[in-house]
Amino acid sequence: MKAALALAAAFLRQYPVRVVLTSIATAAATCVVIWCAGGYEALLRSFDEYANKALGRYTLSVAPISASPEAFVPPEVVEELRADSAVAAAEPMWAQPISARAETASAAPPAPAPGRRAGNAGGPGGPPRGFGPQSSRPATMLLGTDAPDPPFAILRGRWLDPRQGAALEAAAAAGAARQLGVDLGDTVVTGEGETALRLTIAGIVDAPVIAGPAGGTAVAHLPSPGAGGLYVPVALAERIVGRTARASFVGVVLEPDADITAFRFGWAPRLSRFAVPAQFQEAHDIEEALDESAAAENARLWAVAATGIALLVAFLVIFCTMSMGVSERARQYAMLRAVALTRLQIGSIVALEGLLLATIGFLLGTASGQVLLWIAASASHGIFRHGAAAGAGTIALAALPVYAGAALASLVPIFRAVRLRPVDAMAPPPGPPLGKISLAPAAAGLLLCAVNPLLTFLFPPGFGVRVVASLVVGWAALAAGLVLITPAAVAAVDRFASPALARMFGLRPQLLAGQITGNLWRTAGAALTLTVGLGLFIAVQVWGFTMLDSFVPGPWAPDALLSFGPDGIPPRKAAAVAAFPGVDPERCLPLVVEQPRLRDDLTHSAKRASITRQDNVVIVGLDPEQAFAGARPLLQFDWVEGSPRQAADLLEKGRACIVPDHFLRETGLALGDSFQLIPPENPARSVTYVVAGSVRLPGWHWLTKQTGFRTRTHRAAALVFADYASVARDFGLENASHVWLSYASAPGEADRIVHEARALLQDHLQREVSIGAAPGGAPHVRLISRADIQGMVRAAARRALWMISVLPLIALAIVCLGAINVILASMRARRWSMGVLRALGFTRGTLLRLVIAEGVLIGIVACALSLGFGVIAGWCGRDIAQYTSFFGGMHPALVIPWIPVGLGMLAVLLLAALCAVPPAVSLARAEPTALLQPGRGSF
Amino acid sequence: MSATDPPAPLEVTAAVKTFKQGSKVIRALAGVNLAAAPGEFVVIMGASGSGKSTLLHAIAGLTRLDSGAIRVEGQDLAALSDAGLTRFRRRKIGLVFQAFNLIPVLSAEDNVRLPVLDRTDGRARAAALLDRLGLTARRAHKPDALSGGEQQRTAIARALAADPAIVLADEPTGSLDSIAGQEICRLLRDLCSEQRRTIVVVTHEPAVAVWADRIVVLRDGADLREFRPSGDRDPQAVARGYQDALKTGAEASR
Repeated sequence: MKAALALAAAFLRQYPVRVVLTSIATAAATCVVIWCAGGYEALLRSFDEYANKALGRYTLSVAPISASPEAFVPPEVVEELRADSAVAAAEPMWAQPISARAETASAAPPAPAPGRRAGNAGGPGGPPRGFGPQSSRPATMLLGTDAPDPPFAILRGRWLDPRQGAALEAAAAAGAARQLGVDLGDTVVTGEGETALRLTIAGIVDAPVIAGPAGGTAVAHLPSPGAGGLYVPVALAERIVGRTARASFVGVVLEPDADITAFRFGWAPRLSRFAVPAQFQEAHDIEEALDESAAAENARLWAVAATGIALLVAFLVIFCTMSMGVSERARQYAMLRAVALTRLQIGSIVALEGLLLATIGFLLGTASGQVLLWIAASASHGIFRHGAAAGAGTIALAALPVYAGAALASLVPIFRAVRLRPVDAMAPPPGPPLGKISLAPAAAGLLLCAVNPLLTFLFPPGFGVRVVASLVVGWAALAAGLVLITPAAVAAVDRFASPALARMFGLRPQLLAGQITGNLWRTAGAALTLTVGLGLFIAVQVWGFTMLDSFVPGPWAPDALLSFGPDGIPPRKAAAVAAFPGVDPERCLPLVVEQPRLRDDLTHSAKRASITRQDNVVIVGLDPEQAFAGARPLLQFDWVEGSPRQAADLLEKGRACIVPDHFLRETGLALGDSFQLIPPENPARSVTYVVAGSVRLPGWHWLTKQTGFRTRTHRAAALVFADYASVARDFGLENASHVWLSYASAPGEADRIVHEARALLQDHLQREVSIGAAPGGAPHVRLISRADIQGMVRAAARRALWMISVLPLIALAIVCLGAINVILASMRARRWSMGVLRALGFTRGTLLRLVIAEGVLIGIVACALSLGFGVIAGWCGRDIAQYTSFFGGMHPALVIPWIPVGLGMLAVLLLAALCAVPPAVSLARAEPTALLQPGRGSF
Repeated sequence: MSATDPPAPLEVTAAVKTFKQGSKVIRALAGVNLAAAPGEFVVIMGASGSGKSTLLHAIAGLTRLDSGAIRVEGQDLAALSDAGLTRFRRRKIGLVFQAFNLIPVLSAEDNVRLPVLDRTDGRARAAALLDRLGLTARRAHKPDALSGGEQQRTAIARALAADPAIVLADEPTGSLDSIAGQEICRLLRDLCSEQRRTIVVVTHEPAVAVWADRIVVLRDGADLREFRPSGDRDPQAVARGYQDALKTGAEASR
């Protein structure tokens, strides 16, 4: 073993540049994993805190639907919750903002806590401020609770005894205590003057301090235990505030074996029936927590993706290096077999080479990654706002792809080396390989490439483990197919692109022809190496832009939407919008909008929620004739089932609707089928609507999100259209909340229209109306255009796609080092023939251009392979997304974004040319004798 | 030979080896018989395609016969597995190649030590051999820093490192100039005489064959005849003997 290690090390030392490039590539791959996984590790640590930030020990909380400060949770809710066998505890809490200061501090109000603005602190008898985005942020939030156990862990001291309501004691959140400058045993003074009370801090509670703006904002908006600064028994809270306590929210602890999703789904309708309709704050919490956990999920996905890419990079770069080594040392290995070593010993030398390469890269990469993390975390809190750490788990994760990649990469070279016959040592040096291309592998490759589409479209996997199997098999087959196709691709590029490229580089076509085919496996290796990064990049772009198509509001949507908040405007007044200057009078309709729950979980959202699987819909009531059946319909639908005339007639009769095509797919409903909706303000009854038609509605999600259509909850299964009268009657909507309009002429007079709308509403309400969202539910009008939403979605998508594309681009940059290695080795093997060219009279410049042109040809091969891979992978990914992604299920048409794809391919061509520059310069600078001296095939 | 005598270093009996080239079958060895006594210097001569290299490869265990037998120090090579053959070759057979075949990344000393890596006295043996072959000053040099003659001497030292029963050399002077080639031949002759080393050399050069104790002429895979060179190291005489052998063989085949 010692001898094998010595030989392996000696062989690596033979080409130090190659080892350096390989090590840099694997080190960079290791670095990427450490960067991504280190951030994820840190995020996980803080996310454990984040998971508690809102609810602490409570599984979920119940809070009023309305964000009004006057809203409270009725006592009956608490009683019913406690009666449920799935509920272990239901503890109401009363949240009130107060002024508080440490006893030793001056009477001046305390400085605001991090992430909170100092507002007008409500003292005893002062108006409560409540929660929500419009609330002023209090100096200290008092939480009155008789819960026997604290919501968070006790750091010091003890929790409160609700039986000791007369005792002037409080528990303080750790962050609030720091802010107030108090600790265990200190005194906090609440209120002013005669109403001031002195509270002794009996315990410090480990309510997490949320770093970063997102966390702080979430906490401030959530009625939850995490928002508390001081905790007191309810009786004491009433003394401090000077009013009777009412539950701001109820913390609920479920039994260990309770199914939270089923519990929530079963309780949601019951909660909305109470006098003050309530809803589970868990959904809201999870939204906010998921914003953070989405960050954690994203970070986890990044770490996984980085690991996968590092595995690929390590595999490819080390494979190229080792394959080149075995090819170049074939006779040496044969000689070693002849004089001394067994097959096993030869194999172990090759294996040790791979291990050494992996180890050098891993050690370098780990050190570099740690340094990078430290620099990034020190330099900017924005990059790693949760901190950054490369613990044992991260380092182990970084080691996995490098060593696994090296092990996989060693298999074929080991196999080739041990198959060398000792008698080959006696053979004369081999001539250049003939580079004969067989079509059989290409045919097999095409078949393998077809596996992924077959598995995706003809044999869809469904949910669960089968998706994983389908992905693994499909992608593996696609990758294997590409490898098999590569020789044919090389031959095709050589045949068709080489003559034109030769002319472009001022070379005789005969010089360039056959060069890449003559070095087939090196060309294939370099091309495949470059394909890793570019192929993934193209796949991301194709997938991303294809998926995006579903979320950009399509031409079906009118130009703009006017909203009249908070209570709408009578329909006859709303109809006056049609007469505004700049509005097309024939394409302008008032709307009523509601977001009722489906009576039955038709989309099976309880089993798995997604963008198309939710328990409610947004229903828009409008005039069917003008909307889609008239000569100039407002909504220019792309009909999938039914027709405009037919649907309008049915809608006119009442209780009929038009739904998006994906809604029918998810629910299994068909034209003529019906479904039931539960009016939120009258949940005792349900109303039935019949499907009159289905249409494609790309972008309805963003349109409803931005325009305030989603009045109840933040997600909906579909945007449904029905006649105005039915919707207004069924859901108790007196006023039109919106007006949909088209402009009379492009580009539209949005400013003028919105000012006219304000005047209209002011005239109706006889009070001041603002433009844009107003605080505290004040009257306002707002206009948002389809173009605005499209621009916003596209910009957000571009940013998101760029983020996702970063890893493939990093991989591309890294694998360029492997490509340089391959091209260097190729040139080294051809030094003699290059020397002959120089001896025959070809100039240095010719050699330089020849080698660079070969590099560009390799780049063209990589582009062709990448385009094929990217389009197939992106196209299949679109359909697989319905099983794996929350945002799947819309089935958009395939989109190939040629601009970013083209830019990516251009970048690869440039990179390939650049990769060829070092060996080109080295060859061009050498004297002819130096090139000829080693002989045609040296040992 | 009595039962107590040590086995002969080399015995080849009715060796047959064929190769396929497309649909054509080429009979490289057609029942060759050859034996070498301890300390004998045997040269195998023949034209290109006569089977001499194939015979040498078979004796070295680098290729297996279709029929017949090869025994080296009494060991039938056909009875050994691939790994067993490798180990046997390492211990009992020294190989010298035309193209030297030194590992470029190893020093001369490390190249010599290759067959004896698993022996504790490997380094000492290598040093002694390099000294014997006049390469002590060059022991740390890599092959690209050695002349052709020095490289071949290093290869010979490597072949002797494990004290093999037999040294096989395939055109050992093919890559050398005439002076260096003669040096190598003299060296092999001396090793043979001093150490009673059995040496079998394949060559087509009479200038190499003059150093042999016995010359075996092969044609068309069969051993035509043997003759002994005159003691005056006259290449012309060897060439004449070789031509006579070929003529005799041609007449016999008519």
